[in-house]
Amino acid sequence: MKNIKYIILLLFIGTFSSCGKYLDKMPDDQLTLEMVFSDKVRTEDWLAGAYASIPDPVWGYVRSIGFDPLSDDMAPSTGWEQFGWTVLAKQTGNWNPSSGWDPNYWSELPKRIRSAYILIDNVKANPAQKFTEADALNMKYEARFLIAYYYSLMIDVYGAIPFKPGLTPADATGDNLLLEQTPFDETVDWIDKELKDLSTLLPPSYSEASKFGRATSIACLAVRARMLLFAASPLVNGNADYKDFANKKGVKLFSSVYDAGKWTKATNACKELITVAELNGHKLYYEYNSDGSIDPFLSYQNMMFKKTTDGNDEILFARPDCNINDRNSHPTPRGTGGNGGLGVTQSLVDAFFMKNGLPINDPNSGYVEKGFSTTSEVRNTNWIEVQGDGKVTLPGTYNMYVGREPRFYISVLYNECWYRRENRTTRFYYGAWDGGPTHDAPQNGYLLRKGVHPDYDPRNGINPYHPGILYRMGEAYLNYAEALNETDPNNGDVLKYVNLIRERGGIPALKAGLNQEDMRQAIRRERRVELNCEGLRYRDIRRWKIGEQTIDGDFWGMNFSGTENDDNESNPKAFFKRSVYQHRKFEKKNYWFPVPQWEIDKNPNLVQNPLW
Amino acid sequence: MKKKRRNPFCGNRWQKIFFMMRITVFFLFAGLLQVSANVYSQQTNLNIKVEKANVTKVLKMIEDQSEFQFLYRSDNLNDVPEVTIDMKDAKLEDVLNKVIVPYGFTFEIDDRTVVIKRVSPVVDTNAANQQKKTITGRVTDIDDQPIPGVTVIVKETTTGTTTDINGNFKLSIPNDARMLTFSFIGMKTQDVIVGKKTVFNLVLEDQAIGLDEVVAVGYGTQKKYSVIGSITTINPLKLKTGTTRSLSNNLAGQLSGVIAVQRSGEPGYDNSNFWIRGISTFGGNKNPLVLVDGIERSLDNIDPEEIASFSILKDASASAVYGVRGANGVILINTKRGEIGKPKITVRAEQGFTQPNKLPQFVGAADYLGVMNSIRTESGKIPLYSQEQIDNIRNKVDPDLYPDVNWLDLITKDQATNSRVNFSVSGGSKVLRYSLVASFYSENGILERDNSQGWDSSLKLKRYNVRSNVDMNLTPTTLFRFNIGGYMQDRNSPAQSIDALFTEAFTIPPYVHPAIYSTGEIPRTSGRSNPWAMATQTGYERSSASKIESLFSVEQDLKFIVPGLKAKALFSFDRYSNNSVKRSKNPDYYNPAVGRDADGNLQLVIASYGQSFLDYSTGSDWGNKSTYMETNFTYNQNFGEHAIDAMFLLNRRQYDDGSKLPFRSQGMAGRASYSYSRRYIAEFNFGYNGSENFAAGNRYGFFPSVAAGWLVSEESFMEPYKNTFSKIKLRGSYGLVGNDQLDGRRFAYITTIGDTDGYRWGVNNDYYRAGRREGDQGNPNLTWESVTKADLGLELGLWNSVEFQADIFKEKRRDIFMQRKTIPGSSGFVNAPWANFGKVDNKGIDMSLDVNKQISNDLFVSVRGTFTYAVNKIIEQDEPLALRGTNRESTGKSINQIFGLINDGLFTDEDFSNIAQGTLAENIPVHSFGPVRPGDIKYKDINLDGRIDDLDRCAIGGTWDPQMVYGFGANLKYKNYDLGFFFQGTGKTYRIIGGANFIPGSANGSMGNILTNVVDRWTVENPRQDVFYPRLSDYQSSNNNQSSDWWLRDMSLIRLKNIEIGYNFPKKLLTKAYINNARIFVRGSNLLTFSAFKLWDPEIDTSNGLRYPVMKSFAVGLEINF
Repeated sequence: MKNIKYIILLLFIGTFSSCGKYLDKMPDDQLTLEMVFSDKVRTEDWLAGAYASIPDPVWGYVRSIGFDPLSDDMAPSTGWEQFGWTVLAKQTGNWNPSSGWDPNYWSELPKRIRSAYILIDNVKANPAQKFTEADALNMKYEARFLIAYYYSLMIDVYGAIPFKPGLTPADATGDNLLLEQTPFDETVDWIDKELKDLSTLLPPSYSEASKFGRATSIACLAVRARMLLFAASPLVNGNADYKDFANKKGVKLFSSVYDAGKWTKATNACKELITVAELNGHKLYYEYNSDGSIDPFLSYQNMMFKKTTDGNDEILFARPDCNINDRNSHPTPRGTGGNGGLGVTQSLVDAFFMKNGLPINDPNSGYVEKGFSTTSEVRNTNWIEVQGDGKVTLPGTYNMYVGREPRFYISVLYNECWYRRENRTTRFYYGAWDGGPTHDAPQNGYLLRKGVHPDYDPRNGINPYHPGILYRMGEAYLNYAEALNETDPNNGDVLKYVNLIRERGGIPALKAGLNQEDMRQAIRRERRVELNCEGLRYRDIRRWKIGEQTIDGDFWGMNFSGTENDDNESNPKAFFKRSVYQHRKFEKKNYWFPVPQWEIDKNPNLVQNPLW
Repeated sequence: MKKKRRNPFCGNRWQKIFFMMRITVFFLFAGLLQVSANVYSQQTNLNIKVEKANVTKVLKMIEDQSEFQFLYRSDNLNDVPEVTIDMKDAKLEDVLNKVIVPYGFTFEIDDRTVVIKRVSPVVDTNAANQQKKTITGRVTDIDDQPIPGVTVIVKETTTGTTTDINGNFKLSIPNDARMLTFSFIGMKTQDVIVGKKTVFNLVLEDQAIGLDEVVAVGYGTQKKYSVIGSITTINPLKLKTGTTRSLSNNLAGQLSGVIAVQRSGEPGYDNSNFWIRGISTFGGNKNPLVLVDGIERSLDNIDPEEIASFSILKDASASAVYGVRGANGVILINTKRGEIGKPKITVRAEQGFTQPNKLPQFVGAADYLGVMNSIRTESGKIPLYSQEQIDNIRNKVDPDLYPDVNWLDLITKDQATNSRVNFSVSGGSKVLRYSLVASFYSENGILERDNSQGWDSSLKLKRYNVRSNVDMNLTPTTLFRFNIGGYMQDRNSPAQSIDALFTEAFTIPPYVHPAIYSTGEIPRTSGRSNPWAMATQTGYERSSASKIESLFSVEQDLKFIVPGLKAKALFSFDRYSNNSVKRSKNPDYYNPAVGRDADGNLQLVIASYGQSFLDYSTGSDWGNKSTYMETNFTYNQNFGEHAIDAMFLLNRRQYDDGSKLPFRSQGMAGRASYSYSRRYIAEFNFGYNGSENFAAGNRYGFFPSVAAGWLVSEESFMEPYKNTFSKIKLRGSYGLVGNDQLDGRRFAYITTIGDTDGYRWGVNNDYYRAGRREGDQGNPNLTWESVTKADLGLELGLWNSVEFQADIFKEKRRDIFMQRKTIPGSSGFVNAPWANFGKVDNKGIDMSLDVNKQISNDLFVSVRGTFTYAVNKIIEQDEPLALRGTNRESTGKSINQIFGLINDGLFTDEDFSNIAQGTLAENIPVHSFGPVRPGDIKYKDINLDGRIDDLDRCAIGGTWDPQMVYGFGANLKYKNYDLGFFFQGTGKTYRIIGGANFIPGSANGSMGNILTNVVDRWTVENPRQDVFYPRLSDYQSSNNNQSSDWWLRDMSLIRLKNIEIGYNFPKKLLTKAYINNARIFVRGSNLLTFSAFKLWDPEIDTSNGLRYPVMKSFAVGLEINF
């Protein structure tokens, strides 16, 4: 018994005999750069991380990036502001340098750029895993494309940015870390050269279907063409507003002298894109009626939905994976299972041409606003959304929506419009199936139809896939026409390319003989219609410097609180009468996004964008 | 009298009690002593061989050879001459008969305890001739626990007895006896006049300075007098007051130095947040280290019945031994252990009825629409809702089409219940002692269920706790301990997050649709939900958590090597696991009816397809396990006036929660304490421990602390004032502790590859690659946060009935682990580099006051209060340069300081140059958040740039978590009745109320409920400034919705946390049922709350009132001791 004491004592001493190494364990599976780039899948993971900030044009332009609601095209329900739709606050002028902007390009894109540079420095072939030298080299080019593309996105919204290609060392301090803004044109030139160079290095397309969405020479040229068109436009080409705007070192950030050469560069870049793209089989997407004529309804509708393997050669560059579900549900009437509040503005409704190709304010257009139709309207189309048989409108349709061009019907869902899946007409009236009082209702009497797949069925979870088109041939044509009209207004190509778009849109061609200014306006109108709700309009408004005219002021629609199918202006319950639903704000400062306040706080070498 | 040997587990008063009881019994009946036959003594043979030895040495030899223990008055044996004996295989009686009996002593053997007493003459010679009477009574402590072994003696005689195990005594005394004396070691002696009374129920109080009382300190215990660290202890009974599940809800106000707030009442998730001396870091870990029986464990699921002692260690001296884990203070909990004695059984049952403390009140549908219409009218628009609709709602015409639903009412019941049953048994012998506690707790929540469903979605929780602690003396010097405890907790709830239910109940307006149509269809607005259907129609979820906690230790007295030296080894393993099962479904949902058709049927369209059966899915299992090992040596010896107390230990912990690698820590700790003459005390503590989070070389840290104390009251010059100043102790400490818990980062010295969004390529969108990019830059120089803590304390005991304790403290936390905040975005670094950068100072005061007073024989009163105030200040946090010195700077403010705009009243017509256009007059700064009109909130231009925007934000109010917590209460005991109450309060706590849809009209009537205070608003007709709401608008007013001091509220409160009335059944009734004591009580918790904030319970974590509320409860209970 007594010996137990000694045994126990020995145990005490033994307990902690091996203390030294106890804490020296380290995770053995911690990835290092070395491990990432010696392995094909991990290398592609890294590449995916660099690609990840490519904008989602399907839903991103609607909500997080928000270019469409910021323009005069799109009208998300104002009641959605509290659900994180910060873009709604920006619409009404509640926007300052401290306001959040979900994609936060200023702080986020440099991270992707840095990732891309790290990839360029580290990627290497791994023949055993069938990752060849050529694959590695192509990946470096893709990384360079992404760097140039991301910089182009940044200058597109911020103008002048701190621009210093290459990797910032981890121990950088002072001026190596706290960069000033670089003049806009310098960045443009660098991106221009880089993309031009890459367009000769990257392939125009990939034979493997699995590589759809990877960077191509066409994508390089498309990004470059759009950027150079922007750089030639009035906002940054001789804009006197910015003549005193300089960085902390006193360097002017925008040239205030008009340079016609910028238009030439833009024209050439647009021309080069079209030429190369056409050489590689890109063209507008068409669907045809049985009589061989173009079906403008299905052509325009399905241009958004068809994949390249289904013959959609219009796509120049796309993000394959987008949030299609939200994009489908938000404009789908709530009474049919959608969120029912993503609409379009009256301004967009009015922008569509009549079926004769004339704008509604043209005395010859035949536009009648008031009253209701008495017969159905039938066109030559296989579009089936309005009870089939070529029906486009039904009797009793408000006259505003009768006799409009095909792209109107594909883009806009109005009240008392036939809704095939539900086998009824839409009821946007207050208190009716698809209407108020909820915020999930068309607050101004319209919903967006463009880009909503006709087979989308939320109740049954049907949500057909389509890629998110970032660059398409239709835009390339209009870019070219616009640039060419500035450098060589008499060139026949101007009319040719505009009319290609009008032909596919199902309206008569423009007659030759317009003067440069009339042509310019015609091209702008055409862009507005053709490219509506594709995330491009806000850029156009800014580069044309027409924000104050188009955005600042009252926004109109039909009467949200209307409960009656009536257009009597003096009846407060009449639905069909123009009513203000929102007062929006666009000031001079809005031509650029503000430099985020938190970045200015951190970096004393930055200047805030003009007037913010 | 001297206790010859102290049980090493002196923390427990009960062991002492049993010792003393025996001793006293023997001395009192010295005259009647008879040597009783004793089995052990007859079986034990002794070998004694000494020459000219002091008799005490002989006794010690006997103790060493056997399990005998001697009790005697040390001065008594001094005059026994030295002896020389040589006895083999002798019996104890033989030895004692030889060495002490001849010198006028006698002895009594009771099992292994031997009492030696001088033979004294019997005083009471003519006892038989005296008139006698019999008195009875019961002696308890202030917590109504019986005290066995209390000496009851007729003053100045030897007539007396001791109380039995249940504190009862019976004594025959002379009729002319005038005074009784009640005495017990560690308690204040009381004299009671006899008079004509025959029943004496008495409460004995703890002596102000229980000289030998011990207190739990880091890795051990210390004598109370020698404790000079800042330590608060609480009688665990005080923690039994609440009726909620979690012990943490009973801390606020009870313990000085603890700041605690309960942010939700949801069963299973109602734990309080608590901090010791407030928050002093913005780094990752703000929580104190909680140790149960020395092992890092949660305190939330321990039943208060299991607890024997509860202490918190606040200053560096007390917590330095925990080194790198001690920065946020330490809570020590020890569970109950067995005492020698026959089995003691306690059964306690309690049934509570609960009720939400305060829920927000909303207006009904008709008023709702009236408000919406008036908002439209005021802004010049036509009203949306017809008078007919409003009238129909008011008159309850066709509730299917004109519903009026209070969703919050519909999903909650007015009352719920909880109940608790405890069973404990303890006892043991000198060799083996045991304590078993079993508890059952159940709670029903306030959520409604649908009784027509076969399944039960109601919210309820059941917890079963058990703990068994066994102590075994393997040899007279070897103690083996085995603890095992654990619990199982089952929870049943709707298959929805409870917070979501409350949120939705606020979100859905009262008029949009009924909960269910009279025809049985369930409506739901697209994109919204039906709160009632969510709560009752979507199935249920049950989850089960269980925990097992174990501990084994061996403690060896090494007095055979060095007297006073002990060694202990301890091993423990814990395991926690949790799993859940969800049975859920969605019903068919219909769009709200738009009217009735010609036949009067509701026009309904299905919105989404549901199912009639419940799906089955198992939730993920998760859990963790930990092991802990410790070896320690203690040395404790007195050399005359000098006392030395030292401790040294090594420990090692591994915690595995399924991460890549288990978390590990190891270290050593030590303490050396020296006291002279029980007056001057000095102490040195250190922790030396390591953390895997840092690179080799920065891995281990040394955390020393020093402390000194002076017991002024023990000085001879204070002797004359002893009755006034029963205790004066001054103490101070200074030292260093650390924190190695980083904010979401492990192995901070390793550079990581991070995950980011992936990407898909391919025509069919099918070539997916997970995104990767740079993660954190490793920093080999990183090390722990360090805190220097200084503390000055005063302990004051007055008139033997008042105990006051106060501490002022100052902490400087440095090297707080944080991400640099000044790296610009253009650099492209994914995560800003980490650095030891932050600095925070924290200071404050905590104090407590206890008064215990026996007013008369029948009336005992105790009063107590605590007060804690802690305020911190950020000294450095790498704040961007541009913010320094501006109103937006948060350096120099408290952590989590609220920032917002400052209002300048509401706009009046005079502020506008054009009211219709909303153009402000020239002298008014531009308000940039959105359009403004008269009645909107006007803000002050803090940065004087002529614009109101985010740059005008500045510190407003204070912090949300309170900086001040206090409590006060009293207990009264009168005859068999007792009454106790306790108030708890918080102060310096603020909150900005509001949020989505909070301001009526924010969603144009499609979302949000309207509080009944809506009448208190600015209107065109009545443009008051002193309103609750500014001008209401349809849709959200960005301007009015900004965080500003308009919406800032002081959330201070005082609560009647507990009130309890008890009654002890008279002894006569109980004895027949073999019951020693029975008490019945009624108790109320949270019955009253006083706060300037009236809309909802100010303590819960919500800015709009919609969260599972803290409950008030009313309980009845019964406690029986056998």
